[in-house]
Amino acid sequence: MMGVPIEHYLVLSAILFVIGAYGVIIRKNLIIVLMSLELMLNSANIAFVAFSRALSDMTGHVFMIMALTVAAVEVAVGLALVVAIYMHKETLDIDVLKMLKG
Amino acid sequence: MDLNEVLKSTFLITPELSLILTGMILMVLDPFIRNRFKKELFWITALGLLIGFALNLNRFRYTESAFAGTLSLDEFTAYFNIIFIIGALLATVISRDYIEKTALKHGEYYALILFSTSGMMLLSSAREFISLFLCFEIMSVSVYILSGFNRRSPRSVESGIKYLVLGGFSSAILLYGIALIYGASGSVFLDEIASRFNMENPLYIAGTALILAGFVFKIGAFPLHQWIPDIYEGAPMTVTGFMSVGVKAAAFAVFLRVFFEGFSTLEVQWMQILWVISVFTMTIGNLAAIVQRSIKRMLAYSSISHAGYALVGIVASYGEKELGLSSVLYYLFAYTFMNLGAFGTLAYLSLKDRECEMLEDISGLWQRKPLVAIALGIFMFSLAGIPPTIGFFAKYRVFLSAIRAEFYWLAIIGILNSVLSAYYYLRVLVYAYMREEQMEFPAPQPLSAFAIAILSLGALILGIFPLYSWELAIKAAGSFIP
Repeated sequence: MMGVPIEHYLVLSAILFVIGAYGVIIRKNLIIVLMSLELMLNSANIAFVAFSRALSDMTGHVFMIMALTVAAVEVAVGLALVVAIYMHKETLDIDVLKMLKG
Repeated sequence: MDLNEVLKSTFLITPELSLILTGMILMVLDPFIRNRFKKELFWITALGLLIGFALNLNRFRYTESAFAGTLSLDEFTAYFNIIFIIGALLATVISRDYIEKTALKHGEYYALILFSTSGMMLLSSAREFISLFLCFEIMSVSVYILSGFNRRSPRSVESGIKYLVLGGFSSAILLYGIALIYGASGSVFLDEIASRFNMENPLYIAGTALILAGFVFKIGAFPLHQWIPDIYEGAPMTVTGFMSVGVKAAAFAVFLRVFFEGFSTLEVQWMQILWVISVFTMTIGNLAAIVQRSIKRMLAYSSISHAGYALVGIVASYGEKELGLSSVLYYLFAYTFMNLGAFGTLAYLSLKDRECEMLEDISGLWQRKPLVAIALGIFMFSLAGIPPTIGFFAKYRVFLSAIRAEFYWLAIIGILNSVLSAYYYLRVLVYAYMREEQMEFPAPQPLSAFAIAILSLGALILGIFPLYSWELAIKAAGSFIP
């Protein structure tokens, strides 16, 4: 009955997590950084759902829905701050965030 | 879980609910009030916080679990809630004048402080990963907005976006760690995870490591501390004071709860890691603070080294469980007074268009405002750990517990660091007391002055008579040790 073994889901979620982390660290555009952040949070969600199915336990699903909400909240606040940055700098390049240096 | 239990649980979290309700009332009232009356919303905030504080004192009498065991309301929770509410209350008192000076918005500011504080309070009681993660985010997201609150200032907005991206990064790491732990154990409750913990299973080890990394970030310890100076420097002064005290204490609370309750099987391993982390955190924070010309940035680096001192207490609890844990709790309590006081004084001295943050900005303080200078002196002495202030007693307890637990090197490195830190704290006082330049200082602000007086008297009197508050910390630690 179980078509795809759980390892495949876990490998997928690990790959997505690493791609997301790479994006947050390397990319220069603020919007893409926020998207990479979403990718990281959602890769954890895939792991939750996969574990939940393998364990036949609903907690993972509940956690996934809560984590989705949190991800939406983070992106909403993030976009608001991106708009505020754009008002000041007229660019979304992350290199403009250099005012705070000791 | 039937209706009766829900009602009973709801009744048990009334301190948190009073904060949340006050925050909602503020959000609703805010649009209907004329601009010049908006500063009076402060009184509603203060009332809500005081009610929460009074209701929270009840918790010292019982230990209960609410909402099917997801929240544990014990003396540990009550102790941390006292720290959060004192921090939030005094920060809002100082904020009222600061917001008025800098022409920010009152309503949302207070509501965000209340929401963030309620997140911290629930966080200190969470013993299950879903509520833990949600409360973590309630606290963090409110603080992201607060640090970017001054929209007109590019520095504040920059601090907000940096905090959001880096904080989101650490939350994602934490969430992934929780996912792995859930997959390995099949449960999100800390006690069930502890009973099923299996050292052979790599998922547990990887999950613990990721969760540790997430918490180390929030505490602001080495090697994930670089975000602290930038974000503390850019955020509005009162927000920096609030988050350096509240968020840090909340992160420590949840860290203690998760690692002592959930992952105690791996205690030997993570204690060794924390030994290294605490040594580097103290030393790097101090070395970087010495070269700073900005007091705000210096205090940010010093808050890193203070996280290191508190971690010494956690490491010491490996040998001396009760003494070590209670010294951490007491350290965070003491840190609330001295650090919020230091940032509060700087907020008090800030002008409309110029934050008081460079060393030169406070020169001549003693001639112009002697009382503020005395308060600043108490905070700096306390941060440096010079008797008879509260900072001395807290540091003494932390290092004593390290010695009792036979971590001699850790205690020696800590004490050397503490001596080193006196240099940059006292340099602030050299500028405040011995320079003659006449800087421009703002007009007196009675409410803020009152809050700063409370903080400085607290730092002094609790340092001379520490035993009552120390017993409270021992009681809180006692309720927490399994």
